[in-house]
Parts: sequence; structure tokens; C-alpha cells
Amino acid sequence: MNDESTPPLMISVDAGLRDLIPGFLNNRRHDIEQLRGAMAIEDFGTIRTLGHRMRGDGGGYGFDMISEIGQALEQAAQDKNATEIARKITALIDYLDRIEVVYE
Amino acid sequence: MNDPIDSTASSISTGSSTTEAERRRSVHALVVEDDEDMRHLIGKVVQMRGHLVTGCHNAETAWTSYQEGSFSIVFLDWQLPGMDGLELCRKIRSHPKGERSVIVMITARDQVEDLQAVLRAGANDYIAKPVTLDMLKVRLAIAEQSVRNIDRRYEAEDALREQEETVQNLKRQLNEKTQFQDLIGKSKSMGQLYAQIRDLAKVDTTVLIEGETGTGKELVARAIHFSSQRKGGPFIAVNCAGLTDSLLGSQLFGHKKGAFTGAVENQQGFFEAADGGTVFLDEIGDISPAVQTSLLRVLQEREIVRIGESKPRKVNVRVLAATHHNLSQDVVKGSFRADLLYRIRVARIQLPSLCERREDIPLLVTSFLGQCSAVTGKPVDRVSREAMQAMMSYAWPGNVRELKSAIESALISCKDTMIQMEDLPPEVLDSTPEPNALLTAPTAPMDEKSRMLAALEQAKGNRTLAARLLGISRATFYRRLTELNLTPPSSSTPS
Repeated sequence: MNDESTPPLMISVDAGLRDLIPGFLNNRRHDIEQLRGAMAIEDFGTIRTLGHRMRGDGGGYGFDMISEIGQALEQAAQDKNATEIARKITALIDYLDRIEVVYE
Repeated sequence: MNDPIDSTASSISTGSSTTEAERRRSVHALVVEDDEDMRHLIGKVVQMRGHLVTGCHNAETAWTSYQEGSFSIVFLDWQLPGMDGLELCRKIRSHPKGERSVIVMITARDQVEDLQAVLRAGANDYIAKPVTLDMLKVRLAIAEQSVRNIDRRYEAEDALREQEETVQNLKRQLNEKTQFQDLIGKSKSMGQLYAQIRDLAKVDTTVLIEGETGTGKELVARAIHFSSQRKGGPFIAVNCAGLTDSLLGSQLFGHKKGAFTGAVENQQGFFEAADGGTVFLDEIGDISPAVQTSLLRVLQEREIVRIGESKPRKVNVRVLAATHHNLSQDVVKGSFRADLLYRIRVARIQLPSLCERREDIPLLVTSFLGQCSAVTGKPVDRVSREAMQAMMSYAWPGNVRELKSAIESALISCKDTMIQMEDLPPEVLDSTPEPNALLTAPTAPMDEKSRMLAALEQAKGNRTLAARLLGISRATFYRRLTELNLTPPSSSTPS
């Protein structure tokens, strides 16, 4: 949920992808659950895979930030850097809470 | 949420006209990607272009779909669980349909060695992750163009194949115009003969084939039989002139054991043996009155009686007969039954003599040369101009049979690959065209009767030579003599 002090982030997305966007964003929230679970047991392999996937998919749907976060997660998992992983998970949550999709 | 693809038939794009959408619907894309979001994204981009999409999450499922379907474009992720994308790419390329698919590999890296591996596996193009929407659209447009190029190539190949088939059909038709079964000739008279044979093959009537010796009467009979519905049945040819009366009767109708000396067992005759087929009676003018009577029974009652028996046996046989006689004259003379003549002459074919179709001589020569060369192994395939001219001017009283014999003889004499004048039989060489006195002499116009008498006089009564002088066949000459009621100058003065 957006904090009233934090302005929404408007993301322009190709109108042809309208029916895919809800599913895509829902999958990213599911990814957050998986990331937290993997962190809890220090499963860096799963974190790396999820990050790799986000990196590949985000830009295609118009969510470049998701690609950036994914790339960072992938690198952090490779470095076994739990602190960085946690920061990126938070960034992802914040991003998903702020975005408002505009179809063009 | 509903999965927008992952089905074998998906809904089509928005915003396109029905005609445009229907045209693009002919493209069916296969998307093989285990990442659900990427698979849906690619599928949506493809659908937005108006194409059909099938999505698969692993190579095994995709391979099954590929074999069962028809996919112009395949988007294929390299990294897949189980069989990887490169292996699937190779399998697709080795499939009979594989040549017609455009394969776009989705790779995680774009290093040179990766791209080389992709190309070696047979992919047409690649996309390196992370992909963008614009990149997908461009790659899809390139793939569509490749599909069009492939389709155009196959259309051109199909058109070429169709043209080749047309050429072959035309060659076959042309061949049929110059040859029918084993008959050879493209002259007008032969074309008419082929048409007659086709017509007579459609019916089951008795046919009398008339013509000089060596004109191909048996070939015509065979052509009728093997073009007819009886072609699956036997074809039995009988030369009636070569057999005694009793032997002919026994052979045609069969005999009972003990019916005559030498009849040591029951014997089936040709009519029974030809059941369901055709009996060809050559030289039918030479059969005795007794055999004529039995033959009439076959034609009227469709039954035979074996010699020595009294029980009739039904037969289902078509009768074709041939003669070089004038059977009408034989009827007048009393040597041939009129009722039998009417029965065998339900339909008639008159074969032209070789003189009446000289334009077919080169074709016949070529055909016989080919046949004889193949049999003897001598590579003779040409005839000199002079030799051909000699053959064109010779009278060929023995007709096609004599021509074939002359070619066989010439082939044996021939010293190289071309038949020369000196290779031809002496009678052909001796028949140098004589100046036709009847044509060159300044005379008053003659009627036909006078011309025939003049020719006989010039030929000293030799009717063959007289016919040659007039440029007609001997048979025609004989017939006109009878019809004009002429007697040769050697026997009486002209009337």
C-alpha cells in the first residue's frame, strides 16, 4: 500500500500486454515470498535463479527496475551477500507497492 | 488467472481487419520456454501480430507438438529442463517439416561461441536476454520475412514441379499422338486409326480389320483388346491360313478324347481358353465352310461345341478378325458365307498401306532402329539423307513388316553409326524414282480409267509397278481395277 507521502511511480506499458500485467506482478509478489524463504535457509541458488529470471523478464514487460533488481539479486546471491539480498527484496516490495501502470 | 497461451489454438489479435487477421493466421508459432512470464510475453507479441501460438514449458512436450502440428516459427529457449533447446533445434531440423520452420533461439548470453553453437544447431536467429518488447517485435518481424521467403521458395518449387509434370503430360500426349500401344505413326490416317481403335475399345462388337499384308492387323487387334475392358482377359491370336481344316477346328473349338486319330485326351479350344478375353482370327478369308459354320454359331449363340461332342458350351469372347482378301468378292464367288461376313463385319477398320502414309516412314525407321540397336547392341542411331530418301520413295509392297526387315538388314550391314545407301536391301536401292511419264508427257487431261490403263501399258502389265507409277498402293490399284471394271492390257484390249 502506498504511503501518502510517497508519490506513485507511473509506468507506461504497451496496451497489448494489458491482460498479462496482473499475472506478471502477481508472480513478482510470489517471488518475494520465495526469496524470503530462500534467505531464511541461505538457499543462494534459488535466490540466484529468481534474480536471473527477474532480470530477463522485467524489461520485456516494461518494468526496467525489476530487471535491475533481479540483476542485483543474482549478483548478491553469487556473492552470498545476505545483506544486499535483503535490501533488494525491500526495494522490490517498495517498487511493487508504488507502481501505477499506464497503458499506451 | 487464465493462461493466455499454452493451448494449441489461441485467440487472435486485436485491431486487425478480418482479412488481414485471416491472412496472418496462416502462421503458427511454437514458443518453448520454461519461464512462464517470458513464455507468455513472447506468445502475446506473436498474437498481437495476428498469428496462432502454442506454448510449451519443456522440450519434450514441444517436440510432440511439433511433430503433430505445423509451425512456421519456433521461439526456443536454450536453457530448458531435460532436453535443452539446442538438442530440440537439431531434432526439428532433422524432421521432414523442419526445413520450413524459422527457429529463433533465446539465449542467456551473446558470446561468440554461444552464437556459433546456435547456428550450428540450425537456428535462423537468436535473442539474448534480457529481452525488451521492441527487440521481440523486431525479431518476430525478421522471422515473418524469413517465413515469407521460405513460402515463396516452396511455391516456386511447386510451380516448377507442376510445370515439369505438365511437360511430361504433354510429352505423353504427344507420344500418344505418334504412337498408340505398339502402332507407330502420326499421319492423318494413323490419327484416324487411333480414334477408331479407341471407339471400338469401348464396345464389344466384332471387328473386321482389313489391309495389305504387313500393315499391322494383329497390332491393331491387340491395341483394341488392351484398350478395352477385356484387357485383363486372354488375347489369343490364330493364323487361320496356316492350319488344316481339321486342326483349325480342333484348335478353335476343342475336341473330345477319341473324336479323331490323335485326340488322346479332352482338349479345350481357343474360344474356351479365351473366356473373358479376345480371339483374333487372322486370315479369316482362308477358313473352310465347315469352320465358317461353327464360327457363325459362336458369333450368333455365344457357344461352341467341341469336336466329337454334342453339348454346347457357353463362351464369353470378343472376336476380332483380319483379312487381306476382298471378302465381298469371296461371297460372290461362294467361298465365304454372306451371313458370317455380316456377323464379323459389324465394325470395320481399313489399315492404310505404308505407301499411303509415307510421312510416317522416318518415325518408323527411328523406332525400328532403336529397337534393333537395343537387341543387337550395335550403336546405330542415324540414317543418311540419301538412304532415307530411298526408303521414302520405295513402294514397300510388304508394308511395315518389310520396312522393319529392311532396317534389321541394314543394321547388320552398317559399318558405323549411320545407315548409308549401300546398307539398304537391293530391292530398295533398285527402286529409284522413275520419271512418271504420265505426269511429264504433254498429253491431254486423262480420266482415271485411261490413266490406269496407260500405267499398266507402261509397266508391261506389272500391276505393282503400275501402281507405283500412279503413286498409289497396290491394294488401291487392285480395288480400282475391279470397281472400274478394267481388265489389264495383257488379257484384252482396253474397254
